[in-house]
Amino acid sequence: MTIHGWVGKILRVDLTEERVSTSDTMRFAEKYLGGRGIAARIAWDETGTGVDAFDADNRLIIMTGPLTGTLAPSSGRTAFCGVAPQAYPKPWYTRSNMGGWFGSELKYAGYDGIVIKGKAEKPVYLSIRDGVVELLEAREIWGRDTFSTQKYLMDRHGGDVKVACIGPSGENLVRLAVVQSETENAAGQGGFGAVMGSKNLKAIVVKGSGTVKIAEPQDFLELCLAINRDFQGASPQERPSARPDAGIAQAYGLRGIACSQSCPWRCGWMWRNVPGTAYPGINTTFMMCVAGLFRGSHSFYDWNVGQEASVELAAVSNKLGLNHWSLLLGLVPWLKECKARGLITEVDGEAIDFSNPDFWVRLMRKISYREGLGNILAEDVPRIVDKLGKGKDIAEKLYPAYGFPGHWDGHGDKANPVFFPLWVVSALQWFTDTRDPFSSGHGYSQNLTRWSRVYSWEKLAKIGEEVYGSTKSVDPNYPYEYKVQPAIGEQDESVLKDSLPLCDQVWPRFYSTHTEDGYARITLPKHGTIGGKSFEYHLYVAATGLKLPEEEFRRCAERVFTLERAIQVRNDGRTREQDLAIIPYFETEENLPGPSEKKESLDREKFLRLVDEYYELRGWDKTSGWPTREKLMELGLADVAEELEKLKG
Amino acid sequence: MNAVPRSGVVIADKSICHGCGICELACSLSHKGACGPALSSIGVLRDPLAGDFFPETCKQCQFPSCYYTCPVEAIVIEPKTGARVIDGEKCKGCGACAKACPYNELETIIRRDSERGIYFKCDLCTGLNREPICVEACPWKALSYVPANERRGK
Repeated sequence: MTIHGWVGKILRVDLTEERVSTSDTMRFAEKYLGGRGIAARIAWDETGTGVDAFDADNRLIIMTGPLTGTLAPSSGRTAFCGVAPQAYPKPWYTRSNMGGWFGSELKYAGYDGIVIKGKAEKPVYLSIRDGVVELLEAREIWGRDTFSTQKYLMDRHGGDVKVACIGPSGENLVRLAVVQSETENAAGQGGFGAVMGSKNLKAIVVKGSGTVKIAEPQDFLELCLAINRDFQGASPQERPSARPDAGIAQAYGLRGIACSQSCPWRCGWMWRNVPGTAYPGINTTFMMCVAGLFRGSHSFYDWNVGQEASVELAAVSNKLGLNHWSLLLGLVPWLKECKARGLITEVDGEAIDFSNPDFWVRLMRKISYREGLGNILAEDVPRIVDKLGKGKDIAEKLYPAYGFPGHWDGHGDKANPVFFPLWVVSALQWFTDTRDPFSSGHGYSQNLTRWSRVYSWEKLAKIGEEVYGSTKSVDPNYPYEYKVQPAIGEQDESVLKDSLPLCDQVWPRFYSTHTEDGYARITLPKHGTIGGKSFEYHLYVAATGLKLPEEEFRRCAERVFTLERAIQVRNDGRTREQDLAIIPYFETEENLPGPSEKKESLDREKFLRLVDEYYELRGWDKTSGWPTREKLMELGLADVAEELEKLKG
Repeated sequence: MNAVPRSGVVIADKSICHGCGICELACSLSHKGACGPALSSIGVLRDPLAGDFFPETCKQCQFPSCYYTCPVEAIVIEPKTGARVIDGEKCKGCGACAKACPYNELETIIRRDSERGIYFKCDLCTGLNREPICVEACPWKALSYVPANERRGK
């Protein structure tokens, strides 16, 4: 039988045994979709209690989904899952993902994913050329930066190969180490670069000559084109121009670029041949949203290194394979505050000075190579605090939980302006997660913050009713009512985005400037009118040919989220008590006042009522925070229910 | 060489191409029912480390080497658009056209369909009965279609 959407095989690599085999994707596909979903099932089956991030037994699970490599808007993504060294207080199973072109190429080579276990005796890289899979010696690239590694592999295997690799940060087990592809596509959060490093796996290079077959090609084509048409011009700022400002473009070789395959949008620029400031020479790199913080010129990021140095710093960070987000939203703000309070004023004899590009480069290199104080900074803020016994209260204001800095939640994160009560939903997204939920959970707080500048709250409330079931879900006059539904909605949506996969900056498609009421819709002869909330479902059905009802499709997301919770319960003893540990962070004053015009903080009593409502709606036990047997049975997870029963003893 | 009727052509503006590859996938999906550059008649060349990329389209030459070279006359001139089209029924898969094409050094213009063992190239979507799908799909309008009667030069 022809397989549509997926390509049918998962590559299994055992680095200790130097053995490669394949397994059948379709065993998991219908129940767990792909990407993060299939990864969760594999982790449940294979990664038990007591596995540390750097153990040979830790599986690095790299999974695409049924839409990767297809025309589906912004679908060129890949999930990276496993026990993550960045998680705190102990490494635990979580996820990250990246855009780019690596995942598509992997599918064109015939694999939906790669599960890597074991540890190579000496540095190796994995080469995949359609059916030919080899482990090759990486002696010549071990120690190289990510750009130079890719250059070497392209020279050796052809300029059209796609590479996922690590830089010195990953090799040196830095907890902020990313898996990098091209200049700025990276699986950042979690520190999976260090997992590759611990396995002595420098890179994966892939070339595929195949395609992804589509069940209903005509229907799929028209859906993709219609969604893209609606999308074009649907931003609050309207569509960015195709060409950059001529002066800047000429000076810095600026080019608009889609960061991932099939993306009709642009979130950043490609800066080319920009002269360095800290060091002579030129730099070329793509710069996404967070990389802009290197420059400063912001009320909190109050330095200004200038455009040229900001490109240089982004390029240096990308080459070293460091996580921009954790660096710029966590470690750097923490160091800045430590300096302001006189707790840490220098790094190995050099004064902390973020207005000096030279300082930045040396700081990043010290972290990446674990030199001097860098050896401690490489452990990332929560563990630095433990080791140095300094700056604990500063860290608590920047880090809500799990070792990940704030993100669209109105408190620690100084870069994103979200206000009360939108971050009440953010708090509900954080409290049951295993990491920062926002790399695939922007749908509520970011989108509403932005669109509230464009549309009236009345208009938004109507969209809220359409999407989340009640006008109260987005109405600022009801801060502690109907907030669980959008939180669960966005958590499940994030599973869909990480599993199909689809990009979080583009999806979900709720808002449109093309419709009178502002709610995104497309109309096609075959389907009639489809609301924005259902775009994903129709793409999935047309691509895979699985004719399941929309409710069943959404249940897959609920199943995956619940299974991830079961992993937490079984492997890490996760309870309600741990969930509530995020409350103090939200009880501090918010960064920016919202419509009430005064700075708000979380009301614990009212929030705890939402917490109970959350567990109830999720079908989790209110006292323990465990998924109930009934819920697991309902989701078709009988074996999971049985295993959790045994834990109860 | 006998002149053949002039053809329309898809042209690309490299300066605004965002390298997303939507043109490639819209092409392969509409013509072959599958997504992948390997079955696309338009090719986006990418040099990611240099931040450089551009779409390579079939020039639909005034004096098409592919057409003159084909030993089995499998390349036909489509009457409506003038597109130089490989007739999949006639193609024997020898690859003479792919070698003869002066722009095909990276195999982006005439490609081999490895499943069917035959070659294929841009047909200006005449088979689909619509204007070229790559032009319609490009989100940045980096591609445009110039019909035969508006085409200048070679």
